[in-house]
Amino acid sequence: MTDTNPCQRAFDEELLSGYIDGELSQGERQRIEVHLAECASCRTLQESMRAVRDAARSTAFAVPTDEQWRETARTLPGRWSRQLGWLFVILCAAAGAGILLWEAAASPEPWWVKVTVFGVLGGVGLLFASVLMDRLHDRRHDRYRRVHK
Amino acid sequence: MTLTSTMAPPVGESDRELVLLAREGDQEALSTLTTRHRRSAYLLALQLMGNPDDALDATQDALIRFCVHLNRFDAERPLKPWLYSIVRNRCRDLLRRRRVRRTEPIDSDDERWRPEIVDESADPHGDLERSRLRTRVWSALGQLRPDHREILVLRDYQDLSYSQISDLLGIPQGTVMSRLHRARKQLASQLAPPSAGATYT
Ligand SMILES: [Zn+2]
Repeated sequence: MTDTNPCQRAFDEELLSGYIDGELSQGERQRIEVHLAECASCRTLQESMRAVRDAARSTAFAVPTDEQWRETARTLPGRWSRQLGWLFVILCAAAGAGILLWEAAASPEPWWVKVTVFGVLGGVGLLFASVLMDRLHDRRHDRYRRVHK
Repeated sequence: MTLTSTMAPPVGESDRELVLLAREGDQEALSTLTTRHRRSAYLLALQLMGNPDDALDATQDALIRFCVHLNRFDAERPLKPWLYSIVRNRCRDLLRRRRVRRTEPIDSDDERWRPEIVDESADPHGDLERSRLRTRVWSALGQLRPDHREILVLRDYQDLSYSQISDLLGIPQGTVMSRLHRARKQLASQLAPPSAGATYT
């Protein structure tokens, strides 16, 4: 950055990215080129972004072998059935709790037994609900979904 | 692991033909279809997730979803954007789930980002400086905010056009350009300490 003149561009800086990517109209492109010819700091920025792009595009990654693909495919049914299993456990627990509450309310047990049963089940229910709310909250406030204009 | 360059996708029927066959229950067509596209799906997942284990998981899940929902897919349209959006959603879910489990700041969860998976021997003719830059860009990518990382991956690693990215993310092309530019500047500042000036060549 040897140029001491401040940048005097009259366009949004992001057009430099559009320029690198070949996404501009001919008119915009010419405007950028005229400016780049006289502005060292935009030239430097443009060159460094281009270097990053070239580096990214030429990066080689290792990919799984056929054997590795087969190996993960084998573990998949397990994962899926585990998820189904959890769902089943939760549904059964909820049904069991419902029946227990019903029984407790209708039974001739002393009041302190009813309070204990309601207390324990209510506590578990609240814990479960709080986890669920956390999940939902996170889903709604997903960082990816926010559009950063 | 094998190198990307040594694996050419299988050739034969077009995607469209295979999709139509697979829908009629042709298991072989379905298997050809997933085998043909799993490599690029994996690379996208790898670039979004940062490490091979997560990427493989995400890809397998995405491929299953892809097979399950094949009936919803319009066979006349190109297949890759659709698969990419499934992969991307899958990666988002996995990253999110990990965050929920950990309850710590998002930006610190990137010890899983392993720069050494970039294979430098793939480019024996390239000079050392270039290969070093590749590794540094990859590491810096792991430090970025997820939406910045995503857009850089789609443009600079995957080489998608603005209109393809716009379709995939559901944002206007102007937003693609501005977000991409911010991501690039952010990456540049990760690569160069503020005082050192911006020279990478
Ligand atoms: Zn300038």
